[in-house]
Amino acid sequence: MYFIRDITDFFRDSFDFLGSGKTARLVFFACLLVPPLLILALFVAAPFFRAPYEKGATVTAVNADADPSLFSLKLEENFLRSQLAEAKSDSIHLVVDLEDSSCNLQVRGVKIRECRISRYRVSRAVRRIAAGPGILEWLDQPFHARKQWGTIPKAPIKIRKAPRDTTEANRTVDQAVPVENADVGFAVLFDRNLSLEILQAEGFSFTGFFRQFWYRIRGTGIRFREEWDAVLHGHSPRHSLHIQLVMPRSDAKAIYRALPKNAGLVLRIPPPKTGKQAPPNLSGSAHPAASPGARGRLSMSFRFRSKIPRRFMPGSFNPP
Amino acid sequence: MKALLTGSFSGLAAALLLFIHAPGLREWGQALIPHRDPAAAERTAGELKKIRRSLGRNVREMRYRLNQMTPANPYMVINTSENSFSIRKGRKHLHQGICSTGSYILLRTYDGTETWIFKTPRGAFRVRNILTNPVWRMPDWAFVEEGLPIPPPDSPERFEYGVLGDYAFDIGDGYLIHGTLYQRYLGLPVTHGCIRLGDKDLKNVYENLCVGSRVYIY
Repeated sequence: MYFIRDITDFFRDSFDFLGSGKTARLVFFACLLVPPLLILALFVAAPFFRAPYEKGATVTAVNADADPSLFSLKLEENFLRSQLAEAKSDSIHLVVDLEDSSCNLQVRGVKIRECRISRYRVSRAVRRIAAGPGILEWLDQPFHARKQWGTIPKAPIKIRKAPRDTTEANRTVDQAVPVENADVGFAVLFDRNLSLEILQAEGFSFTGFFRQFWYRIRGTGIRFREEWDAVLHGHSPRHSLHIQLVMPRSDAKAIYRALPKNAGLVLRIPPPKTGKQAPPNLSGSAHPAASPGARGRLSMSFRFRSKIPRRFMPGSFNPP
Repeated sequence: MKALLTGSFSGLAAALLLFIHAPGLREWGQALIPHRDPAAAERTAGELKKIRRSLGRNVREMRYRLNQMTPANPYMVINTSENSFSIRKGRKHLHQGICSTGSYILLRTYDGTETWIFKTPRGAFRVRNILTNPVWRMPDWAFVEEGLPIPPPDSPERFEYGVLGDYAFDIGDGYLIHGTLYQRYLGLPVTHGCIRLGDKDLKNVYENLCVGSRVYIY
C-alpha cells in the first residue's frame, strides 16, 4: 500500500509542472510526441509508399483470378528457369519448394541433399505479394544471399599452435575429437528483401536457448543497422519478406554449413487460391491431413503448428 | 526546463520502443492495406490458349533439361557436416557409408610465420586420376604438426608407403579420396582436407567411379 503511495507521489512530483502553465504543457507534449511520431512516419508509415521489393525484370502480368491454371504454369516456369540459371554456376545453392514442402541443396542441377520441411510460415507481406501477379516478378530470378548468421559457426575453425618438438606432439596425439551436437537455427538475408530463417524441428536444449538468444540479438542488430543505413542514405526502410522453415536438425546443419557466402536461392510459393482452382496445400505443413482446419479457408492461410515450446522459439515471428 | 527534460526523455524512450518494434508494426500494417490487383490485360480465349500451350512446352523442356543434368553414370556425394558419403546413379543410391573429412583445424607454426587450414573444399569436382597403391608425399604441415624439422622437397623422408589404402582418387588441388590406417576415426572430422574411407567402401568406390566421374561435396 505504501509502495503504491510512493509511486503516486513520485509521479505527482515529477509532473507537477503540468499544472504550472500553458507553455510548460506545450513544451512537454511537443517533446513527448515529436520523436515517436517521427519514428512512426519514417520507419513504419513511409515504407508502405514504396514497392515491397526492388523491381526485377518486367514480367507479363498474368492474373490469378482471370486464369489460375495459367498463373500456376507461369509460377512453375519461373521456378524451373531460376533453377536452370543457378545450375550454370559451380556453387551450391538452395531450392525451396513450399508447394511440395521440400528443400534441396543443388549444385549444377544435381540434388545433393533432399530435405523435407516439417512446417513453414510466411509473413503477411509475402502473402500479400503472393496474392497478386507481383509474385511472378518477385520470383522471376534466383535470390542471392547478402548476410548469414546462426546459432552455430559457419565453419567450426579450431586454432592449434604447432608443437615445439616430438615430445610435445606426442602429448596431443590421442586427444578425443569433440562431437558437435549444438542446436541449429540460422537466418539468411537475400536480395529483394527476402529473409529466410531455418530452425531445427527438435526442441532447443538449455544451452541452445542461450545460443538462440544471441542469434536473435545479432539478428536485431543487423536489422537495426540496415534500417539506419537506409534512413541515412535518404531511403525508407523496406518491408522484410520473411519465410521461416522448420526441418530436422541434421538437415538444417548441413544446409547452413554448405551454403556459400553469396548463396543462390530458388523459391516456389504455392499459387493463391481462387474460386476456380482447387485449393493447394497452404497450411504450412508437409502433410495436408496434418492441418484439417486449413481446408476451406477463403484466403491463403499459413498455420504454424509448432511443437517447439514457445519460449524457445521467440516465435513472435519477428523477422530475424 | 523540467518540462523539456521530462518530455524529451519520455519522448525518446517511446521513440526507441517504436523503433524496436517498427518491423513488427509494418508487418501488422500489411493487414490494413486493401489488396489491389492490377487488372490483367484483356485477352481472348484463343490468345490464352496459345500462351498456355507455349508455357506448357517451355515447362516440359526445362524439366527435361534439369533432369538431364543428373549424371547417368555413378557419381559420389560427400556430406562434410555428417561425415558420410553415398554413391548414386541417377536418382538411385548404390552405396552409402561413413567417411572422414576436414577437421577445420587452423595450424600455426611455432613461430607463427605460416598457417594451414585443414578443410575439405565444397562444390562440384571430377575424378582426375585414380592411383593404385598410392604413396603419400608428406607436405610441410605433416612435419610441423609432429614437431619435426621440415626436410628438403625431394627428401626420401617425405615419402610414406601404405598409409593411403589401396586406392586414391585425385579430385584436384591436391585433395584425394583415399583409405586410412585410422579406421576408428571414420565418421569424424579429423583429416587435413582429404576424404578418408574405410577399406570396403574404398573398394566399392573403385568399382563404381572412373576417371571423369563427378564428385559433389557439401
